[in-house]
Amino acid sequence: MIEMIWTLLGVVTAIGSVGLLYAAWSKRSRSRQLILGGWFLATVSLVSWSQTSGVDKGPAKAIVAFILIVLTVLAVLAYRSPVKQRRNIEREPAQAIEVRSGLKIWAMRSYNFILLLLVSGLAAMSISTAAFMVGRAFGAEHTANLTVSMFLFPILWAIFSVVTGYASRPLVKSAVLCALALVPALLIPALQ
Amino acid sequence: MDAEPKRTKSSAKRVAKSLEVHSLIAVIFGALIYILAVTGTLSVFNHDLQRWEQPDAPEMQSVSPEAAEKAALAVFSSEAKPTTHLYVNFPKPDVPRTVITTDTQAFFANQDGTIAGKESFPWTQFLLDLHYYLHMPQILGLTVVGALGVMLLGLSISGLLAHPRIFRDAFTFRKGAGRLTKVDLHNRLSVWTLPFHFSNALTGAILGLASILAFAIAAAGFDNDTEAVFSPVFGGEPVINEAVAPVAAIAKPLRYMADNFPHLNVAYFILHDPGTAGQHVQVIAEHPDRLIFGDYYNFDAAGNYQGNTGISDGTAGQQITGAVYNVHFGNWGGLPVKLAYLIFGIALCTIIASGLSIYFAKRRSSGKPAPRLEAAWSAVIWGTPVMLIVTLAAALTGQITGIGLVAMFWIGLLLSIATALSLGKELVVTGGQLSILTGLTAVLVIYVGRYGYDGIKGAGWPLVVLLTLGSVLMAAYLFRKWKAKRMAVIHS
Repeated sequence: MIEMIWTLLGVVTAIGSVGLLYAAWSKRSRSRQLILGGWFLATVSLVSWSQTSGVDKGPAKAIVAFILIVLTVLAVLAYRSPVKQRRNIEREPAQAIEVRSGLKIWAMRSYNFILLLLVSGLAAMSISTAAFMVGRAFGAEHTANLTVSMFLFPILWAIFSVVTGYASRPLVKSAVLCALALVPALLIPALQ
Repeated sequence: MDAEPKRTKSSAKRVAKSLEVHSLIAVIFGALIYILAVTGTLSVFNHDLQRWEQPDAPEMQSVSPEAAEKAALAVFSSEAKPTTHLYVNFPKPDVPRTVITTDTQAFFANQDGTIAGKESFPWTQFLLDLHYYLHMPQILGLTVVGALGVMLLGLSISGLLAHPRIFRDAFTFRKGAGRLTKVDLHNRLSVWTLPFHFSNALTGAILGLASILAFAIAAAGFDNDTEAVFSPVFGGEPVINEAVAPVAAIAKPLRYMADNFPHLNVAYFILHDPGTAGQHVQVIAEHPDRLIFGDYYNFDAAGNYQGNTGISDGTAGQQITGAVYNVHFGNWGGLPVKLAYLIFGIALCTIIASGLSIYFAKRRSSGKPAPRLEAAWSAVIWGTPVMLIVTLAAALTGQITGIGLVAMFWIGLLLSIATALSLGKELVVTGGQLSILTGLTAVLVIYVGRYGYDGIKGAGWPLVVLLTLGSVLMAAYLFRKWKAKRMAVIHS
């Protein structure tokens, strides 16, 4: 019975939160009260859901419920939104631009692919492994240390991949990535 | 005054570059990420699919420790070559069956402990192997799939960086506006389901890359002993002693669990190295109020309790690691959470499909069309579900299993792409939609033909209803599309 009350409170406050945030978004001028109110209710919803289950499962249920409510609101808005008359601008079909190709371009693309996927991954693995060894050297508890490395590895790899694609100078990014991969790897023997 | 234009210029440059990275990662890895998204969404229901594939297996809400022991010993004694592990899989709400598994075979057990028949779900196994390994050898496959999870993380990060109007456009949806509608659909779904696809990409990457990270850490600090890396989390393997011994007690530990941990759900009984002096028992029990997959409750061969490993109440690292699998697969909250994951999974598939659709539309409007690549992409979007349905129909005939299904899927997908490259996008899209309708109908006919009324009324009915609904919806959609086209032709 108590769990049902907390669940109901969690659902109602999540709906209220989405409602307030939507109202804040709809207003032409920024409304601090509506925004703060929306996030306050979201916090109350999270706390309510946390009472329905364990320390990890309760908040997870809150997040799932919140997303479902938002998706429902979006679906209703999408269904109800009118089809606006759009300016029918007569456009000339764009002139086909000759796309550069050739061995040099393909070599550059393949090189970027290797950097983006493989070298970024090696750099991330090197840093995550070195981070584990540094943690161990400082007496960090094994399972916490391992968990940090397990989360760090994919997150770092993703960040390096994005930065690799973002950066334009091939020599600079190659040098940086190789340094990120090699330097921690060279430090590891000292930490053993 | 000068600062404003500079800030706007650098912000626009950041957005443009982020979008470039976002497109680059999507074009290179989008097809495989899409296959993982589709198969992942279906895998959430892998237990239900197993039940549906064998609707006539005996079902029960619970089984007594004595009956479980009887069934396990019967299977163990039938083994031609001694197994290294003997499992009892206990009934769960989504798969209320008792299954005895060894290294090489699996059997259903009746509630009285007698053996009922072999367990076999070739299509569900094919689906899981496709999602876990892309049908590659295990460690390689896991690593590749983990790397694709990383690329999905990269797409989330670059997508956020390329979205400066994230708050201003929070609820924007422009209907009937062509490419703008697709952009709004892509952006709204991406932003609001971010907690789901970010956590799923991250947990998927962690699961896939755990092996190679363990190799690296073991090489760096544990003399290449990978067991030393994970044993503090999951418990270590005891010393092997191959001297022959009577099989360890099975009923006694289960009785202990029922008497001392009645609030937990016993999911698995595992007997390591059965029939040897080094054998030991683990019981995996689920904690209904937690995200963790469960905890290991350890017993000696005589059935005496030795303590739990600590996934539920040990270090923070153990508890967080123990939650990764359930968070990824959505099996932590029963049917409501599974249905939520289904919706989020469909959203992710829509995000991926719409994202590349927007990319190709932009290329066309900027004078750099890529009709062949666009057609190939359409073939992946529609070919993946088509080949999943085709392999399902083939598996249901009982004639094609294992490697046959794998070959069928990949050859079929490659043929779809080849067809698209020569015939173009439109034909592939229509062909794909028609194939889905035909395939779903064929699956229903084959299923009902094979299992009859027993298949529909028993464990099979939810999926039969869903398949029927799917067929009706696809038929209605195709009819509406044909009608719209006909009206357009008449008016022109």
